[in-house]
Amino acid sequence: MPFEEIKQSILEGDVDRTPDLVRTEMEAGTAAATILNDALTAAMDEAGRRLSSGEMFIPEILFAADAMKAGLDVIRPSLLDGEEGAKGTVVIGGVKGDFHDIGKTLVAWMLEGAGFKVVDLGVDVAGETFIDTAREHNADIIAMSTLMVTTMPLLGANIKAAKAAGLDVKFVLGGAPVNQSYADRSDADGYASDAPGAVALVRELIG
Amino acid sequence: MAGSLRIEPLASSEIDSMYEKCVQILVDHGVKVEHETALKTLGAAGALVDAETHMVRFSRETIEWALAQVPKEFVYKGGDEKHDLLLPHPDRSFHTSTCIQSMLYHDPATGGFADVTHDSYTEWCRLIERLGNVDICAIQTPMDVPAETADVHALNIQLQNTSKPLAILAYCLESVPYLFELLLARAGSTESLRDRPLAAIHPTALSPLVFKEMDLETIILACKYGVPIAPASLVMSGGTGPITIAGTAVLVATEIVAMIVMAQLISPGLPAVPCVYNYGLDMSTGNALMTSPENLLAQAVGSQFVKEAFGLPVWTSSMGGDSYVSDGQMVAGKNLQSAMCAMAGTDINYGAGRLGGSNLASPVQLLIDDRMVANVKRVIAGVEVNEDTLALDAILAAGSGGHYLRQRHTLNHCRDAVRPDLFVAEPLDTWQEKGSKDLYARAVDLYEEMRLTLAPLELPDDVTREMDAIVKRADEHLVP
Repeated sequence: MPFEEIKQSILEGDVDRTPDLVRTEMEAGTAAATILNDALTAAMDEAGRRLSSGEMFIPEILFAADAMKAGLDVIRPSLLDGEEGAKGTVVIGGVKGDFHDIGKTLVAWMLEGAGFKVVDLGVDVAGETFIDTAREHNADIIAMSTLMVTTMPLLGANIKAAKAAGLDVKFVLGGAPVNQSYADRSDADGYASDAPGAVALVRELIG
Repeated sequence: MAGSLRIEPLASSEIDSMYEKCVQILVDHGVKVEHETALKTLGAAGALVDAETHMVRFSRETIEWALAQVPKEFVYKGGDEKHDLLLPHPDRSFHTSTCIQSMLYHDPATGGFADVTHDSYTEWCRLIERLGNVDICAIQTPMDVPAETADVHALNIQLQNTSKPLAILAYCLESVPYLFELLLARAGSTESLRDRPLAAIHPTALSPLVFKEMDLETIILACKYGVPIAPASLVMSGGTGPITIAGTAVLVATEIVAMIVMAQLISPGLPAVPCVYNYGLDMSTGNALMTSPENLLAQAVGSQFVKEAFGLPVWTSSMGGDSYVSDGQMVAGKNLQSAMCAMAGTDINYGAGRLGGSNLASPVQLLIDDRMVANVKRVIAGVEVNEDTLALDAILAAGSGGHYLRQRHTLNHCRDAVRPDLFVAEPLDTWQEKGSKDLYARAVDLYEEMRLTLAPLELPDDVTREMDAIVKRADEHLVP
């Protein structure tokens, strides 16, 4: 199995061994893009599959993502323009007035781990910041969350403002008080109740 | 009698060690406080404030002074003194509160969920007024009112439909004053409100170790009006807190003590009842877990630790659930957790009516929980052993081969046993004749019967007019 050792090292979350293995592969003459696609990204795809099936747990996924990034740092200088090949770009944040961070951050980490480029705006994010950042990074998706009833209306308001501004992105929502019905009413493209669900949703929307 | 049934998950040496960790965190690291006025007030009162980082630290002396100011017992009062609750519970038993902030009620007619509305929350409050074992009505979230003032609308509904003690919290900084205005309007005067505060209000930590502007404003106004605080920590083990049970208990207690110290520095002697509301993070799905075995134990540990380490009554999330319907999983989790927490010393059992997650509830589950509480209370009360209960005379009178049904001793005690009406105790034939209904179906029948006779409180017209006017003013000022 090609790159089995690298993939195994990533799946074990080994941030020390993974870059060494990648470096060895580079020195053997393997193209950086091949290592990226067939080792690093393939390992995270497998991690995603194992998370969905319950074989891997969230902290293990996060450490795997760290190991993948450590490997990516080794090959990045050798990648040609466009080869880094993120699967898509997601701008993510908690809406204005909401300071709950952990769920949103977990989603951001797991999206990164799944190979997406993620721009994490943190919490208490103004509507125009979502729009400006999405434009700046040519984002595919804006992901917004809130855990507070009082800030829920901002989800729909931000979507409305972004669409009025002519932004061509998809919107996904999350957070404890949000549900599919509320996401539908907010004119969102999708809703996920947990981090693995968010990753699956983004995969589906970006295709 | 040896006393009510007790469990002690922690040894006293472990409690001492955990206490020291709490103090060490508050002395060395401190907490982040996002409220400019509070920072100045706390600094002037002796806290160590870093104006740039908003970190607030407390000396050991300040912490211990503040804890000594908190009343070790107080009466948690509602609108009618017949519902007053003494804390700690005088019989080492517990009071029960409903769940909080529900946004969806399970509808027994459709089997699905529907938004909590002004009308359905009104019915919920009136139902609580009629229940014998649900003592505290906690705020819910009507979804057909403006989101910006949902808490103000909800408190108005509570005040007009139940005279039991209330548990409330603000949903945003701007609504905090309106909540106190409503309490004041219902009480009649600041003196009346101080004497009968009608509610306890939750300031809540943004775990780990952050306190939002809204929660400091809540503490400041609670201090001003003399409304008891119920400082709550909702640490999520493995997410916003340590994954271990002991570490979770330390962080929960640290956040609670921080809020108590801040309140006591502003208003020494303000009653407080700590709320241990932590839960678990499922490492596989990221879902919140209320009744996993670890969280069952964590709640019991938190109850014992806070009660014994700080000498305060404790309010524990002990009737949560992870199922989304009123099924066997729900009853198994609630029954075990409420019994464990009660035996570990909790004074208020939180969560009646809750289904899985943090915003689902069911009026039918509320009725089941009401009856379940009766069972748990009886079990933890323990056994009384005296000359009468030892029943030697009855045993000798029945002799060999006799019976006890016509004995005066049996007559005297035949109504002692708890017989919750929703739990089957009848012969099989009778149960079948009544339709072979399970617990949930019987509870639905009871709910449908009860809802026909529910009624609002009879409050003076001028009081309800004033409260309605406050809500209207909140809408005008806070809703864009």
